[in-house]
Amino acid sequence: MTEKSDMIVTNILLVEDDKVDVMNVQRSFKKANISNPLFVAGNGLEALAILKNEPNTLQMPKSRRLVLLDLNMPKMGGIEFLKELRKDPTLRRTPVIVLTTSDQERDRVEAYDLNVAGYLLKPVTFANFAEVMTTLNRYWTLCEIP
Amino acid sequence: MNRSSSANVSATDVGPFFGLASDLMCILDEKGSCIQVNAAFVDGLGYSMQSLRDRALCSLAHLDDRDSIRAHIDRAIAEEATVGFTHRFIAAGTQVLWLDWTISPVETASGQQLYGVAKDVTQNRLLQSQLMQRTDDLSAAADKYVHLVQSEQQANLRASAAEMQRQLYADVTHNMPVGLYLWRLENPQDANSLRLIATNPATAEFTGIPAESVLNKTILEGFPALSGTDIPTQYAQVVRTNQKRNLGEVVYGDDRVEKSIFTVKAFPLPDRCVGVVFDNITLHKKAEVLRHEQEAQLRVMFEQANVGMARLSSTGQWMQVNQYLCDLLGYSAEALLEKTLVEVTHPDDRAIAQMQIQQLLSGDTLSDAQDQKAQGEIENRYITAAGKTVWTRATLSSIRNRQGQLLYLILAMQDITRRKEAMLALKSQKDSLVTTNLMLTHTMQTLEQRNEELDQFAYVTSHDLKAPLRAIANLATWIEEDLGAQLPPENAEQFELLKSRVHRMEGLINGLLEYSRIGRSHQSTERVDIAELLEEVVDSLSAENFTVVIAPGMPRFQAKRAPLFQVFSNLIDNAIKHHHRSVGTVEIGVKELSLAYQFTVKDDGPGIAAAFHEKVFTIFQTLRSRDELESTGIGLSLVKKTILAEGGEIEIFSEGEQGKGTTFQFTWPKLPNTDDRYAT
Repeated sequence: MTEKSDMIVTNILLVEDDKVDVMNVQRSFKKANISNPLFVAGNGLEALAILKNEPNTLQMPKSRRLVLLDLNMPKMGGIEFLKELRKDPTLRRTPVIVLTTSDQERDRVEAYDLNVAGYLLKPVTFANFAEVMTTLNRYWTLCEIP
Repeated sequence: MNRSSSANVSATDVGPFFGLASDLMCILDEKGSCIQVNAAFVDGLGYSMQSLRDRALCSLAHLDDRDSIRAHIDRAIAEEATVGFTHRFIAAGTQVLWLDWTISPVETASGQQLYGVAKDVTQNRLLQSQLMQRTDDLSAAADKYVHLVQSEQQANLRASAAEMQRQLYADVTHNMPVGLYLWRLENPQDANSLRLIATNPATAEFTGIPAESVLNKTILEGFPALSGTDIPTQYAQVVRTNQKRNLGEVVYGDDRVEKSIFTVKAFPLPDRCVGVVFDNITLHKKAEVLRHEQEAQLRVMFEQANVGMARLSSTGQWMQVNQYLCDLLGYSAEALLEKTLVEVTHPDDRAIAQMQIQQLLSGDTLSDAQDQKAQGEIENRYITAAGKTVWTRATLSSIRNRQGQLLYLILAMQDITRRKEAMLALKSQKDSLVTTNLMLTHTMQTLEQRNEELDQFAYVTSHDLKAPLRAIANLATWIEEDLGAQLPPENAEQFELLKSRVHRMEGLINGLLEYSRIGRSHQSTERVDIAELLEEVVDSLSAENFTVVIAPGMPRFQAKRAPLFQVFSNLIDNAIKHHHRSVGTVEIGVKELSLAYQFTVKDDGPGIAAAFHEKVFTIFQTLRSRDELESTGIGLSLVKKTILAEGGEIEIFSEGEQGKGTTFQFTWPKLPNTDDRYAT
């Protein structure tokens, strides 16, 4: 089991501008013993730079990538980032899970139109959040991500 | 002959001849009076020498000839010329002598004298006149003969012309298209003795009676129906007075003749005869009567029609107008007839009217030849005598003869002013409606914009307010976790309070969002089984110790499921949550109305005082402290707004006494509110 999870380690890019929310994810990972490498980008532009492995950025492995995406961010928001991502021929297959506070129908529809793997609402309490992260981890370890 | 008297004449050599000459000789003074005459003169005329002295020669002449003789003598003296003339002289024995005179003037010692010589030509004259008489007689005889021959020829010509004329008259009589009867009055005293002696073929045609059956019969034998009329007497009168007579229109009919109308004229003929000419005018008369009737009908129709009617010339001049038209245009007929159609037309419509007339005039006569008329309908305005505008609908037709020539135009006109005004009013109302609609649309747009802004606000609220709230909650949790047992119980309680307030805040924010979204998000309708829905609602609520009684006969109908679920959920939840005991009963009832279902949610809880009935529906209003009962105060306001958005109503019944409970009664339309304004 551990051998397998080692073999198929998923590299996670968290695109989130709120420091508390980043801590939230990190703490949830720790609590749920999720050891996947976690990269953090403050907005859409930074996230694109990391995914393209541009110099002077965090060097993220090019395989088995998963993006956890917030929608409301400065400089480049989540929906805009998704549009750019889907346009890029090398990055377009990257699975993205939206993790947001917005339960707007409009955002949800727009996100799914841009081929997201999931749309998660951030729970207010940490306990619930940790639960969501655990479930998510269980799910994506089973997924065959390119 | 008296020689001694002649010896007194001057003793010239020729002197003796004066006395010897057999011709009459004389010497006259310048006045024409005798100075000397010869013996032949005296013998010839029978006057004595003495009585002739100083006697004017012309005084011896015939009265009729004297002037002429005087003139001849005057000329001889004046012109000193020889003159000659032959005139009648009267001898002493009143015998007339024709004397042929030659007279010459001679200058002598005793002044101018006239020498005259005359031959007695009386015998010649007589012979000559006798000869003349003979010749005249002969020529008269010749003339007479020629005249006789000519007369004979003329008589022959006249005879043949008369014959021709007779034949012509016979033919005329035979062929003329009027009936002719010739009657002879056999007894001048008895009108009934009139006997028919001749007819022409037309009689049989007009009466239907063959000539043979009436010829040579008396008038009453031939025409029994005339007995008792004055017709025979009138005929007899013509014979007696020898004057023609017009009997006018006579109606006759018997068992052979269909009752008909004849025009009859009688005229006298020689030999006590009377000619009667007649014509059968029955058909003509009937047609005339019919035409009269039709004319009368047309006139009445024209005059009394409830539409304006008129006849117009090809130039558009009114020729005939009826009363209605006069009333309509406010002119008297006389005044109108002096105007043209175009003159009374509203200035703005004149061009059209003119065009219409032109079209009718120039209308293709070939294609119209079938019915000889063409017509056009026109709606236009006229100006009345009083200057008012009237709207009319008119038909204009052209009447043409068989040759396609335009005779006149017929106009039929209706007053449509009221209808037109109503239409105009309607149009202006429509215009104002359109304006109102535009304003409404504008308002709608503004409203939509506001809604959009509200959406934006809600979005911002949901994210921006919730994010720091979540952060606070998270941080509190982490501090609590990290400190663990080191946290004093007092602080631990404070952490709990902190978290609960965060929850409340989140609840308020969510409630607010939900409230703002009611009726705006489009929800699909489905067939909802209310009984089933209620079961589901009860299951979703923690209602241990509470009994929810669902009345039988819950309907199934097309509705939006989610808002209905929310309404029931809120009402039942409220009933349980706000109950003063931990045990209670909630009853759900239904009643079918014509357009909606009326549901009731009745509890046996504490009830709500009448003063608060309105207040409970206000947002964020709670009747109890939130610390006592965790409640956002949004539930009932959500319920009310949801029901109103669907087109229903909600009422609250409660006396506000413990145990009597509260009843919420609301209606939900049978037909879902399918306003899809927010669908997109």
